Amino acid sequence: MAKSRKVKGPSLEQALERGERFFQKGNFPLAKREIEAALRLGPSEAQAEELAIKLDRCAREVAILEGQEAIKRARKLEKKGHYPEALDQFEKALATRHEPWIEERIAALRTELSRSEASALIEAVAEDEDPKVRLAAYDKALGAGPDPAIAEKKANCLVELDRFDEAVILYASVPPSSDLSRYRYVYACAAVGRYLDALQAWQGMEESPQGLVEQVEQLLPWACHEAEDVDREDPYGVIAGIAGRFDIQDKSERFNAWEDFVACKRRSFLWEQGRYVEMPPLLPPLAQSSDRATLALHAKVAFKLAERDLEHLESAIALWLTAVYDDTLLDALAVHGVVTEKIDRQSIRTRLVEQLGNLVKGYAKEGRLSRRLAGIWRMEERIIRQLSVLLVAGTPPSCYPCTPGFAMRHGLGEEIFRFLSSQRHPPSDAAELQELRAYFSTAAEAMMWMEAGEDERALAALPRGIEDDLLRYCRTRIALACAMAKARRGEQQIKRHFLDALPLLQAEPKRLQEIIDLAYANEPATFFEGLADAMEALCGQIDNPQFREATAHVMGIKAVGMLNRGSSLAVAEKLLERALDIFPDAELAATTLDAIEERRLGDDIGKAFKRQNPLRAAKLVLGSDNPNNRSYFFEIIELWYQDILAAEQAVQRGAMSEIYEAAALVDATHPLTHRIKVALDQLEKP
Amino acid sequence: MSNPFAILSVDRTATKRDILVRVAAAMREGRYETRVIAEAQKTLFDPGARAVAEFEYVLGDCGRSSSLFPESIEDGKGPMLRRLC
Repeated sequence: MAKSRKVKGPSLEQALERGERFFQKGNFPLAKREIEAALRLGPSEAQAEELAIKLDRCAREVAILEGQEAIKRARKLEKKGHYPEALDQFEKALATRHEPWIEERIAALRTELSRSEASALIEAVAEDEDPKVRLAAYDKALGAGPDPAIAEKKANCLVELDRFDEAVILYASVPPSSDLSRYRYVYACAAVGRYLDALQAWQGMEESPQGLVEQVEQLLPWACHEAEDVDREDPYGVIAGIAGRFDIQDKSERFNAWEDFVACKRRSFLWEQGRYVEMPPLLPPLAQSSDRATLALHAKVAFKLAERDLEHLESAIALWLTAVYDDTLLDALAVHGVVTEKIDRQSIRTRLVEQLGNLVKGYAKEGRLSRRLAGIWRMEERIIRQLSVLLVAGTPPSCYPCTPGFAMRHGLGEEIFRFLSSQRHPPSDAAELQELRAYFSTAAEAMMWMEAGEDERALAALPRGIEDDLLRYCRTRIALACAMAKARRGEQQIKRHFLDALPLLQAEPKRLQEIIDLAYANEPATFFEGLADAMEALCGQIDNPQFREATAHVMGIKAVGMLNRGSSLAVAEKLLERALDIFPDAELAATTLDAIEERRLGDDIGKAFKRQNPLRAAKLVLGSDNPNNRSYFFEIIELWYQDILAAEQAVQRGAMSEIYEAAALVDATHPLTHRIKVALDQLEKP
Repeated sequence: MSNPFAILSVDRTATKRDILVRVAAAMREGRYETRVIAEAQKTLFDPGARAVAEFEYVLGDCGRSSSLFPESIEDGKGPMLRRLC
C-alpha cells in the first residue's frame, strides 16, 4: 500500500512547483496545502527552511481570510437576529483580528443577549406576587446596564418590601414617571421621615386621585414639624403649594387649621426675606373683617410694597392710616410687657403717619407723585384725623375710624355713613360732620375725585336721579374746590364756579377765609383778574366785612394791572369806583383812583399847552396835588418865555402878559414869575 | 430708620438685658457699623421709638402665636398613609 501511494503521489518537485505557483498567485490556502505536502516528501534542509517561511506566511494569510469570512457571516446572522450565532462568529474573527470595533460588537451583542434574557425573565415574573422574585429579575436586568424604567420598577418593588431607604435613594436617581410611582415615592419618603420631600413629590401628581386630600392632611402636621427644624429654602412654601391645590370644600377643619398655620409661617419667612411681592396672596381676606391683626398685616405689607413700587401707594395710604388710627393696634405694641414705661399713643401715631408722609414726600421729590395721588393722600390723612377726634354718641362700627379710601375698597362706607348720620346731637361744627358724611356717602367717589383735583370727573361721578341735602352739599363743595383750584392756577373764567358754590359759602363762612387768603397772595396782578371778578360777584350775596375788604383789595390789584398794561383809564376808574363802593376804606383802590385822576390832570395840562392856553393849564395845575404837574407847568412856561424874548417886538408884550398872568396864578413868588414880570415891565416902558 | 430688631437679631419680646447681650455680640460679629448698632440699641431702649419700629418692622402673628402648632404629634409615630399596591 505504501509503495503504491508512493508511486501515485506527486513528486517533491511537483509539490514544490505547485506550491510556488499558488503562493505567487496569492492563493494561500492551496499554496499551504502544497507546501505541507512538499514538506512531507523530504525536501533538503535548505528547501525545508524556505518552505517553513512560506508556510508561516500562508498560515497567517489563511487566518486573515477565515477572520473576514467569520465577520461576513456574523453580520448576516446579526441582521437576521441570530445573536448567539453572530456572537460566535465575531469571537472567531477576534481570534485572528484584534480590532476594537469587533470587541465593541461582541460587547453590544452580549448586552443585547443579556437584556433579551432579562426582558424575558421580567416578562415571566411580571405577574408574580412575590416582590422578591420581581426584584431579582430587575436586579438582573440592571446588571446588564442602566435602565430608568426598570430602576423605577425596582424602586416600586423596594417600597413593597418596606425597604424604604433604598427606595428613596433609587427614586432620587430616577424620578417617578407615573402617579402610582409618585405615590409610592411619597409613601417611602413619609416612612423615612422626609415629609417635605413627600409633599413635594405629590405636587408633581398630574391628577389628584380621590382621597388625596385626606392623605395630605395626614402629612401636614409631620411636614410642619419637619419644616421647623430643616435647613431648607422656603419649606412652608412646599407645604402651601400642595395644600393650595385642593378646593376649599374638600378641606376639613383640621386641614384648614394647618393651612392657616402654614400661611402664617410662610408670611413670616417671606417678610424676613424681604419678599413682599409674594405676600399678598397669603394674606387673610380683609373685607368686612374687624380682625385688627389682619388689618395690621395688610397695612404693613402694603407699606413695604409702596416703598418699592408707587403703584401700591394708594392702597398703602388707606391701609396704613386706618391701621395707625386703630387704638387697639397701637395699644398692643406694649402688651408683651417688655416696655414698662407708658407709651404715648398719640405720639406713636403721629410718627407712624410721618413715616407714610415721608414716603409720599419722597415720591413727590422724585416728581413721580401724580396730582391725583397727592390729593388722595391729603384727603385720607385729613378725614381720618377729623374722624378720630370727632365726638360721637353710640358704638361706632368695628372698622371706625377708617379712611374714605379704605371704606370704599372694603364696602364699609354705608355703615360709617349711617353711623355719622345717626348722630342726633351733632358736634359744634355741624358743617364738619356734613363734610365727613359726604366722604362716606354714595358721593364718596365724587368727593375723592374732587380731592384729586379731577373736578370734571368728580361732577360726573355724582349720583344721578337723586336730589337731597347731602348731594346738594357735595355739588357745591365740588364747585368750590373746582373754583379754588382754578383760582390758584390764576385762571380767568372762574366766576361761574364760585357762584355755584355760593350756598356753601353762605352756609359755612369759614370757607370764605380760603378765598380771602388767596386774595392777599403774593402773585402778579394777572393772577387776580379772574378772582377779582368772582369775588365782586360774590359780594352781592355775601355780607362779610373781611371778604368785602379783600374783594376791594383784589379789584384794586386788577385795576393796577390794567393801568400797567395801558388799558383804558375810564374802565380802570370804574372798577376802582366799584371797589370803593364795596369797601370804602380800601386803600389800594383809593390811591389807585387818585393816581388815575392825577394822570388824567397831567394829560389835560398838556392838552391846554398844546392849544396855546396857558391860563387853562394854570387853573388845572392849581387843582392838582401832584408837584410834578407844577414843575411841568413852569418848564413849559420857561420855554415859552424864551421864545417870546426871541420873537418880534410887536407880539412880545401880549404874549408876555399872557404867560405872566398864568404863572402868577400858579405861583406869584416863583422866580420865573418874577423874571417874566421884570421883562413885561421893560416891554411896557415907552 | 433701619430695622433695629433685625440688626440686633432680637424679637419684639427682647428685654434690655437681651438687647445688651446682642449689642455686644453684634459688635464682635462686625456685620454692621458700630454707629448702626448703637442706633438700633437706642431705638429699642426708647419705648416710643421701639413701638414705632415694632409697628413697622415686626409682621406680627395674625392673631395667633406662630410658635404653637395647631396640634401636637406623637414621637415615634408617623402619619397613617394609605398604602397603594
